[in-house]
Amino acid sequence: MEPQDNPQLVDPVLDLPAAAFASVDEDRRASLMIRAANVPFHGIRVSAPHRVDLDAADDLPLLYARKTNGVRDWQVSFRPNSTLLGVDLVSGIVRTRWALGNGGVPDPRRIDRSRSGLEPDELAREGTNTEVLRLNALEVLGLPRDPPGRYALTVIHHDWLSNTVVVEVSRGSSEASRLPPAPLEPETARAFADRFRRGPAGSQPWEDAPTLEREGLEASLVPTAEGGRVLRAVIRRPALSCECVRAQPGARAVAHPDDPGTPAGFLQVSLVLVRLDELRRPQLNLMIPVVVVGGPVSPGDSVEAHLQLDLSAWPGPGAIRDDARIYLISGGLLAGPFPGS
Amino acid sequence: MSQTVEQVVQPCPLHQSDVVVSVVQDDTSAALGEFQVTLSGQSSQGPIPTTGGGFANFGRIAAGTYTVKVAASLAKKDELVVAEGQFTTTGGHPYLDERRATGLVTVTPKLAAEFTTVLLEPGLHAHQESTETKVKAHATYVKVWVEQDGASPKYSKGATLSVTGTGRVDVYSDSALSVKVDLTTPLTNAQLTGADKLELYLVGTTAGSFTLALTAEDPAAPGLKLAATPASLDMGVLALGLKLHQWDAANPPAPAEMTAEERVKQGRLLHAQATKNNGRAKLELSQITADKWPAGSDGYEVVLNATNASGEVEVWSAETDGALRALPLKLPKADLEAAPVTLWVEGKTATTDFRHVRLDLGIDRPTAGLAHTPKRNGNWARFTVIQIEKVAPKSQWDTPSDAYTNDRLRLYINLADDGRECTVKAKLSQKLKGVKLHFMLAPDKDNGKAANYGKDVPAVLKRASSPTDTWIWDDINAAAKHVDKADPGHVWHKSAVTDAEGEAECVLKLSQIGRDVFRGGVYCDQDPHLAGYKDGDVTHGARKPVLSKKLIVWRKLWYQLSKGKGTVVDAAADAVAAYAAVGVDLIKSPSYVLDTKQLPMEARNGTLYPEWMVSQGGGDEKVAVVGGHNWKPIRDGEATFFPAQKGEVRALKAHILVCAHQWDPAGWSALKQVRVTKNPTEWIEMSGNVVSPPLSGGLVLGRDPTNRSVLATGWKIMGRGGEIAAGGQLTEKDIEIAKDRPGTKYVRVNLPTAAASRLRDGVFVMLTLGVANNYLGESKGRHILAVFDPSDPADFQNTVIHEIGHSLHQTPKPPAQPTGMPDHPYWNEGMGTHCSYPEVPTNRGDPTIDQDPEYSNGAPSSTWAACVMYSTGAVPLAGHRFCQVCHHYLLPEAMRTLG
Repeated sequence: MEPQDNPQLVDPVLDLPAAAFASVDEDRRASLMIRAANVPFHGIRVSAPHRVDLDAADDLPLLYARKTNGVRDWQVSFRPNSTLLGVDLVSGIVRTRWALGNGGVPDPRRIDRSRSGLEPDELAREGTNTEVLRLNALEVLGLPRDPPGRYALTVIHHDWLSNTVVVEVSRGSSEASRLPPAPLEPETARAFADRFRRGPAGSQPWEDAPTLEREGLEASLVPTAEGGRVLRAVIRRPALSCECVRAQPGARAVAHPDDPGTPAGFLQVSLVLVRLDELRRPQLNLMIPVVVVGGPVSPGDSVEAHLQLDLSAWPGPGAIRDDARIYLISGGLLAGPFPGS
Repeated sequence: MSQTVEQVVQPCPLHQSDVVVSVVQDDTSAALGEFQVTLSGQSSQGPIPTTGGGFANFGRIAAGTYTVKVAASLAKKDELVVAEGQFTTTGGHPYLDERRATGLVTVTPKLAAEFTTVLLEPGLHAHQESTETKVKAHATYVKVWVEQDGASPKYSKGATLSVTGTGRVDVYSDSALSVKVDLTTPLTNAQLTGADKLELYLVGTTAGSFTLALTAEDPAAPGLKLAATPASLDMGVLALGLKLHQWDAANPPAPAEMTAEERVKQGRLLHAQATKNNGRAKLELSQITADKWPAGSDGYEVVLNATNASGEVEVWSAETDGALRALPLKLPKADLEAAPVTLWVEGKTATTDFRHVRLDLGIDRPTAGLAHTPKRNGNWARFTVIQIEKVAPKSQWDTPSDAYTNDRLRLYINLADDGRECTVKAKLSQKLKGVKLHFMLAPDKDNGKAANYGKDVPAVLKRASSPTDTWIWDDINAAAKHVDKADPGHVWHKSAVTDAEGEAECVLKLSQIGRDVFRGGVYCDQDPHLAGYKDGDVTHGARKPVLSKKLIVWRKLWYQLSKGKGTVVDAAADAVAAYAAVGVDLIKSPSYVLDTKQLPMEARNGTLYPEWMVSQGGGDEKVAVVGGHNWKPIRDGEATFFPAQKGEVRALKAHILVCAHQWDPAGWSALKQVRVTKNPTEWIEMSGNVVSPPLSGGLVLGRDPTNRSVLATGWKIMGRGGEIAAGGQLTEKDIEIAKDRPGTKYVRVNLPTAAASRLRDGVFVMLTLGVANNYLGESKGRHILAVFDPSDPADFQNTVIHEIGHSLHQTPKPPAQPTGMPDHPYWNEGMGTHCSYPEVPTNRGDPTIDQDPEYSNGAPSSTWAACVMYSTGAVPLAGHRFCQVCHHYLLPEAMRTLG
């Protein structure tokens, strides 16, 4: 696959004043496109205002720029393989949608499939397509207008990741008007922990598992003796309120994920599998019980979790083709792509 | 009576005779002393006592006629009597007058009773209509007479009948009880001594024991004497208690004892028993303690009798099941002495009129003594037995359809505002007017299950699936459910009263849930247990009301295709099947073929294209391309393009505009920059579909709109320093769209001479063209766009299903779901609202993230198939079907209009 090459070079073209995003009409878009065509970049990039007041604006504008050559366009068709990834940084919920539909319905029989049409000759391989698209992330991701929130937006173009922009969505001049989700009731927490134990993933640190001192997400694919692969990840970040467990007087926080007691807390992590020209993106959402010594997790506590997932167990035999890519997302952290084979 | 035995004539000069009076026993001729004989007449002689030989010798007395009186001594005077007599002597001869003494005649009053027990008249006849024959307690007759043990002298006096004790009776002289006997007036001698003994009839007026006595009057005549004691009988007036219960009209109903008036005027309603479905009436026979029975009532029985003008009831030992007690039911009096006896009355056959069956209580006894007939009507109650002969929806009453007969009747609830209303009619086997019947819609046991709904309710819609779920299917708001009660909390269902034909009808409201199956059920208000009937329920489903055939909640929609001549599809059979699965008949209307000349002016460009221009390899016939640029004017011309057919409801007709492509103008393409080496150039692939004329706007963006000096579409030759050494703008006429192009995104450029002549210098072409992008479809109310690709006809079916789904508010964006339904767990909003099943539910109010149910435990589900309400394109496994979640949102959709 063609790698990206200095995609950040186009940032000056996309760096608009906050108010200008809303006024990007077809003429303005064409102008941005023509300007971007003269920038020597190769890849994808996004740009958005840092804050959007939905009382004053109808949408959440996101500029999505690309410059691709004929090789890339042949290898990875642009339209069907553009996925918008949105992470709700308050609840941790991860959503992925086809980026170019504004939530609409692409015709799977008529999508522009990769490696279809005329195979580019030498001239065509060198030819470029430069495009700046204006998306409404609100509509694409199906995000609610209420309550407002904070979202991390990234475009995945199969094996390409764009930069991530964080947008604060508000209503009116009120600042934080969204209450964080309530912590989990102990009973619910135990149910989630039990479900995790029965699921395809484990949370045991492996031998020589690293420990992260700072916020971060480190992941790797490790071959197994049986010829399979295990995705290993270490995540450290502040716990969201909905990853905490409501304090229960006298209850003992769990020190081990296999302990049947009430978990101390969780870290949410999502795995997204993208496959070439495949509009469906299997997504596995996990709540990893975290190992904590000393008591329940409180919102904002920096907590660490380990994840081991045998990729032969998810999403199922044969589901991860050679052309698949796996992304791992937890809060604002993102790792990938990991190749399908 | 004297008898002259012989006259002895003696010559006597003094005309005297010796007179001796002899007194003898009349029947033995034995001489009797202790009599005083007195003669009167010619002279008075005596009294002279008779001697031991019975002679009273008067000696010689003057001849003449004498009257003889013989008086017994005090000791004999109540035993014997000698009749007065006369004799005449002629003198000169002794005269012996023989007087014969006879015994006294005893007068004895007599009584005999048919029963020692007289029934207490319950007085129920007072509640009968004036035109009715009054039903009264049978009287007990007694025979009353006087006997004397000698024919003479004949007793000539009367006798008095008396009643003493706590019990009271009225006495009648006739069996019709029309002439009451005044007991203060003695019965006459004629009444008492006639050839036929006097019969008097006793009717109890006060319960209790009494003595009936007959006392003869003093004979006041010689030779007669009264028996030592008057005639008397110990008797009793017996009250036969009866308690009959019915169900009151309260909510919930309770058993209530019927008043006497109710038992007579109203009567107890029963439904003829059918397979143990119907209730029985509780009938309690009151206890009769031993002291209530008079002496001589051994062997007496209390008898429950039936009198049927029509119809019939049976009596059972228990409320359900039990033993049949044949009528007339004879209960030895001992059975009632210890405790009341409870019986249960069951309707057997219907009566032709109200209160035609009457049960009464009476008594009977073994055969002995006077002839007797069993006594009846000591208490009684009346019954009306109905039979609900037929229950059916009114629409199927006169001429039931085959569908109804075969339990396949679909009731289309969406064709009118009151479409959920269903009039259920019932008919009694007899034309009884004024019978209150209750009408229910009895849900089928398989409602909510795959057997009726086509799919089981998925786990995600059940409370048990997650601790955070707040509802289950059964909790659906009442607004979507059937209505057959004034209040859901009531036990009783709605009711109606039969007319003169014995028919009644009631308007009920079907549920809003497609594929729900009901049966009309009717029961009378004396079968309240049937109000709790639940089909299939072990406890509450065994006893059934009278049920109609199945009534299946269904909806009806129409669809019509309007298309270009080159579009071969003519039906959406898979859509028909998909909607049938969710309880909709989707009816096809004849298709309409578009013609350019008929299109509105604003749609004539950008609508019909040769097929090859929009589909690689297509023919020359025109097919439609529809999108945001031309759809509205076509929609506005629906009267032309979707002509109404007879019987259709336009608001329920999907106007499906079939196009080869549903393309929307997508603005300007990506800026394509490519080096070309020939003229015309090689085929150049753009980022979108290119047609001519374009769907709207221009085909070519020549220059940067905000900086006109910068080319957007043109050619250029780069200098060695990276500057543009030469170049120029390209125009629409330079862009070639040919039938042989390799795809709908390809164009080639006919270079202007200035460029064509310098191809060796390296000519680059920049193209920014107006393009169109395809979407699968769109709907606006009943107007639908659907793409038909001849190579994939199945996909067209998915589209039709999908777009009609949108017209039916699928996937419902909260709170657009049917009233009472929870938020759709997979609702997803983008361009329209769609279903993200089987992805993670996103809007369940749960901030935590559940595992994707399709991939739990690493096992891909066999149901991995997107819903036809897909948000990211139809996938092959969608299979023209709604997912199991959407399925359950379409079932309760009102579908009053499309859109």
